[in-house]
Amino acid sequence: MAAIKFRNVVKSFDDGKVTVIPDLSLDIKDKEFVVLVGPSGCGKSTTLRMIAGLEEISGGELFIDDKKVNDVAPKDRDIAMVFQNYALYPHMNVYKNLAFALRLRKMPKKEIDEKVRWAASVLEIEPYLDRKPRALSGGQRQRVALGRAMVRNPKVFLLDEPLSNLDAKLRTEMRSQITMLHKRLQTTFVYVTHDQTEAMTMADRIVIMDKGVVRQFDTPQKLWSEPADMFVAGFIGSPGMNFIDCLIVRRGESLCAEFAGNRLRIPSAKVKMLEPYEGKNVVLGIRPEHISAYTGGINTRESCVITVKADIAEMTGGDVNVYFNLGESRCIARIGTEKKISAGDSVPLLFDGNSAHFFDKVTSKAIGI
Amino acid sequence: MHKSLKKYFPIFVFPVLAAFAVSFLIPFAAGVYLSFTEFRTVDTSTWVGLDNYIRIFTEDETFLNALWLTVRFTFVSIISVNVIAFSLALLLTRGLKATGFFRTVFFMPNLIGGIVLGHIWSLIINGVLGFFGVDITYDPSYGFWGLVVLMNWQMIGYMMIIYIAGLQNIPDQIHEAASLDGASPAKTLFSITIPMVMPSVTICTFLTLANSFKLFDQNLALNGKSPDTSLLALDIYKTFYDHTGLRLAEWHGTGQAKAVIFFLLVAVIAFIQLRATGRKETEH
Repeated sequence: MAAIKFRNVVKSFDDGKVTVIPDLSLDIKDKEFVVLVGPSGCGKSTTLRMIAGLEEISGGELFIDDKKVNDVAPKDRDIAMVFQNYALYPHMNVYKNLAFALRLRKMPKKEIDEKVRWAASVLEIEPYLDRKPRALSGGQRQRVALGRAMVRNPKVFLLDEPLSNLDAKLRTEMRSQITMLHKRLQTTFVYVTHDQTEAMTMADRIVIMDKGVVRQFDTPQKLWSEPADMFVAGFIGSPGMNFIDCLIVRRGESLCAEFAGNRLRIPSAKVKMLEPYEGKNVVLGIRPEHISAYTGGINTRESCVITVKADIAEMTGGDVNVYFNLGESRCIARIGTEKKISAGDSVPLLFDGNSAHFFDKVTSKAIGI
Repeated sequence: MHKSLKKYFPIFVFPVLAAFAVSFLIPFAAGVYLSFTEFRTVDTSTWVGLDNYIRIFTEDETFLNALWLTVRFTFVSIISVNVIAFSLALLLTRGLKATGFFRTVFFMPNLIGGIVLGHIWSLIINGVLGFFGVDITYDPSYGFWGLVVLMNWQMIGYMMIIYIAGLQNIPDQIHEAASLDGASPAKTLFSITIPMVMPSVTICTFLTLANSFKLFDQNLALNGKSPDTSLLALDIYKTFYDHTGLRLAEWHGTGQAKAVIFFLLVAVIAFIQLRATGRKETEH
């Protein structure tokens, strides 16, 4: 159980020639489940490895439980890590893999046995204690890797893309197991993934990273509803948010966003923050989920109906992803399956202005946040 | 496809089988037969039963000495070659500068032929011993340790390459997991690294054992003139070629009998060693 603090941490390679993390400051609370997420090469695994002590810190300070750990060896940090490829000891059976760290601590045999059997029963790997890792399936190996971390009762649990080698079904199963494990162990969990579904479903808070920079550190709900910039808005959500260039204009009493010959009235809650942008171009962001098929019902003041030509209609099960062009922007709408839509159809779509986001075209930051 | 391949199997196997039979199986069987005969040439042999084998342990004074020397030499070589080669492999997989250069340098002695190597070391060792007014034949222990040094110099580079391949096969994350588990470098070495390079240990021990046991040309060139430092292979050679006169046919047979014993020894020891180390191997 520990809080982790990054204070202006820098990580560079090749004697400072390549900087992967320019200036990282982050506060992870005690017992929190934090997920580091971002595209490949964004520095999330490097950040995790710095917590573990497997990567040296080039600058700044890292604290675990208010103790500066920049120069503390991995073995003295009291942390456990689960690796992407499990990193089990292939010459030891499951029991010995779980017991290895405890034996090194010279724990009495009886206590080791109790802890190993406790972890094995929690993770349902008791029948495999005598097996070597090569005789286990991917899911079983991953559970052994989790068990190896559990038995140590560490201050911090680090997980580096632990589910990426598993198939989709097993991944969903293991996701809930890890969440339950966090609740049970009441320990700080730091989890790295590039899968936003994992991040959104498991985390108390998510760190979104890009090119070594934290773009936003917030709860999943806030990341979804109040993305700090276009990167976060585009990263969270599948399919990602649509971005459409628009001009902010005043038409009579109302402030409107005009794009590709269409006009969307700005919701009253957002008028004040967009007034300084009157006469300027901004980026309108709208999630595919907030564009629906218009069926002729009531159209509110803050929504507009645009008829588009569907290029592709992708059936995903419960929904259909409709791809279309709006001006120069490529857009996707996620709509229900009630109406059958085929490629080439003209489809009237309802854009929900209340769910629209606006971003500064120059800084790409969300306007008003 | 599978069925038609099976049908033509004898045709494809025959050339190799014939070559193997002509170049190995038949000479080997003939060799075993000749060990029970007296002969000057292979087609003038006379059956003498176990006489040759009895002569080795009664009349011949050199065989047991050579056997004991070979066993000691093999034992010392296996340990020294493998310990030094593994240590070098560990050093050269740490990402140090000029690693490639050192790997090449350490491997180079392996490219030099045994006779040349023996002469080079004979010059070096005799050059050093010359300061003390003696040479390598002065004391059998000089010859013994000279052979050990030579063997190490020649074999270490080769074994090092095999160990490097084994070490590079261990994923970095295994070592990282061990360090997070709290293992010291020494503990990691003995509990993780060495068990995981057991396939390399098996092959290196086997190669060192077989090469040490069969060492001949280096022995001939370094200290072949000394009667006390002949290893088994050289002793067999001397049994064949150092005898002349009326009893030549007897000594030919005796040399052949020694060769059969030599083969059995190498085969049995290598088999036991492969079984022993192979059991400790783990796939990863």
